[in-house]
Amino acid sequence: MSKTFKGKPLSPGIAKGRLVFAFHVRSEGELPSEVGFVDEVRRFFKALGAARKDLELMKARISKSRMQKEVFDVIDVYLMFIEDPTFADFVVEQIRAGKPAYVAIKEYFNDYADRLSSAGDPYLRERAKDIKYVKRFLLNKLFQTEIDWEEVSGRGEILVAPFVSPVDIVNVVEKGIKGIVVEKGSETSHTSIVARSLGVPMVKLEDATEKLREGEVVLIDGSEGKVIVEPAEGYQERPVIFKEIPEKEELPVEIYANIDFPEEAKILKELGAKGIGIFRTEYMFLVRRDWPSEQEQERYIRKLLKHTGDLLVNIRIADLGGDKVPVYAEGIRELLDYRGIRFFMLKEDLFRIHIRAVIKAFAGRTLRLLIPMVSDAYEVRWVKKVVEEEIKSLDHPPDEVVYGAMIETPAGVLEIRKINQEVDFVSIGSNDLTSFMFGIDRECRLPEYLDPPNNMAIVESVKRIIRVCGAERVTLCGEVARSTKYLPYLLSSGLKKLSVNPAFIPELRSWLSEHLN
Amino acid sequence: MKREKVVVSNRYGIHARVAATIVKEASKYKSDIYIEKVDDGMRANCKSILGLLALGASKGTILNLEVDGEDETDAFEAMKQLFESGIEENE
Repeated sequence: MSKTFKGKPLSPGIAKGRLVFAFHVRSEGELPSEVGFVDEVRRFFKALGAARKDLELMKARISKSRMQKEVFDVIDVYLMFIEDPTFADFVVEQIRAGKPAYVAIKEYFNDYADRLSSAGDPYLRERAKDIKYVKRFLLNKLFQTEIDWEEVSGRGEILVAPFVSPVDIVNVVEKGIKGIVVEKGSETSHTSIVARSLGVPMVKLEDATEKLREGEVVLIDGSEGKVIVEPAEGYQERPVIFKEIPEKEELPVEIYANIDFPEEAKILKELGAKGIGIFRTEYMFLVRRDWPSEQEQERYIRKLLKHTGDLLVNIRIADLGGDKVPVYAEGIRELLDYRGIRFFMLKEDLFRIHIRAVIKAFAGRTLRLLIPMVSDAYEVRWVKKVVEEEIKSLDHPPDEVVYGAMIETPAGVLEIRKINQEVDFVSIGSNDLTSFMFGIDRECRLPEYLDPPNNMAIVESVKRIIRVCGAERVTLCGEVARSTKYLPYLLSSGLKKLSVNPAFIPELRSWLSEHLN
Repeated sequence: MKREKVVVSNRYGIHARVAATIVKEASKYKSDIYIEKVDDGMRANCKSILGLLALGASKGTILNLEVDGEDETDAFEAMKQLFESGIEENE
């Protein structure tokens, strides 16, 4: 009998395989209480060496993979934590005093974690989490209870674990694991970002380790967030993302990609994308530990331009705030209260640094600048004024600046006439628009009665925008843009441009070619 | 032993990457290298990243830089210069 569990989608694609459980089982209670000094010191250094080797290996692999380096800068810091000379000195001294190594390791790291968490500085509190992670990593080495990758035969299996760290996921890929079910994780976590960029389907299912059983055959659907135990025969495995791409026949609809990292631009032509609908610059803020300088921001955007060739590129001003608050900026009150362009309007100094970097990266080119969360035409005028001022101060300005507004609040939909007069193009952010329209959490799925044709709030909003701006100037972004429930209504309203996560482009292309050609 | 006051001039104080730069530089020398916050006397070994982080030294914090050991002259100059340069965090 097949049985379906509904979880949350973290990384798209469909994979089928036998479940393999991999998590930390042994507890420290099983350790001998009496320890001999020499043996214990030797055991400690062995664990230290193993941890260091793992981290070094991870670094080497990452430098070869197409992952964003910033995401893993963290490994360097972890290495320094364990190579800290005061650490080894402390542990050896404690062992000499008769304590087991694990107690000494815990004391050392807990002491620092406590000191950092009580510092009242959000940045340091976040580092306390890093310290706890390193502590666990070391203890796992000491007890040899980490995910035992030797035991995981891997190929073709689905991994179940309470939590998968960004470090574990490199192993997941190397072992040929086809999909992942986790109990904890979020769409914006580094692990999910890495899984998506590597094309490994991932679903979050609460209490997965209790609901599922080792060895069961399951199918996981990372687009819908489903885990199906003993799936019926008819269920087709869908090829993992970037590998198989349907024929590139001409479609009456243009497809663009929303991307987070410069490296993702490399695959867009293969996927048949016309360009980048949204380049989300906020990731250059989110994967760091401090505000990026103007030079760093410019470098990041130039890196993108290296890969884009003649593709159309819409650069979106960083949409910070809401669920996208960098850890080092948690203390900035305005970031908790405001989002998108309204945050930057209150922090003009940060905005000027950001916008100068963007303008400079586009020297001698056309800059298509997308403004996030526009609710009023005044916001567009404000951005234009700052951009024009900054351009005047530069020797090498862009050839031209073309402005676009992200419409993702009900206010933006209702004010579209006035906003449209200020911009050259409009992108509808359907995820946020849906959330604000229905007063429902972004991460949550709508109940079915709110879908069209019963509830037409979103469809009507899109139609209104097309009517005012003209279909040529409107791109629909986000989940709605690939929803087969919505597309028939939207396409018949004249919608011509869609922009989705690159991982979904093959799926979307095949659906469109089936239904439109 | 050499001892002199230095000021933290980085925008976000001694955070992880700045600490990492200090550790890398300090580890080149045999001398013991410490910094001490003038206001509360908290000390940190410049070869210990966690010690440096736990100082919680923000921009403008005044520190005593102390270097003691056989290569203290070179080490002191290098560390002093590192603090004075504002500790470049770029890779």
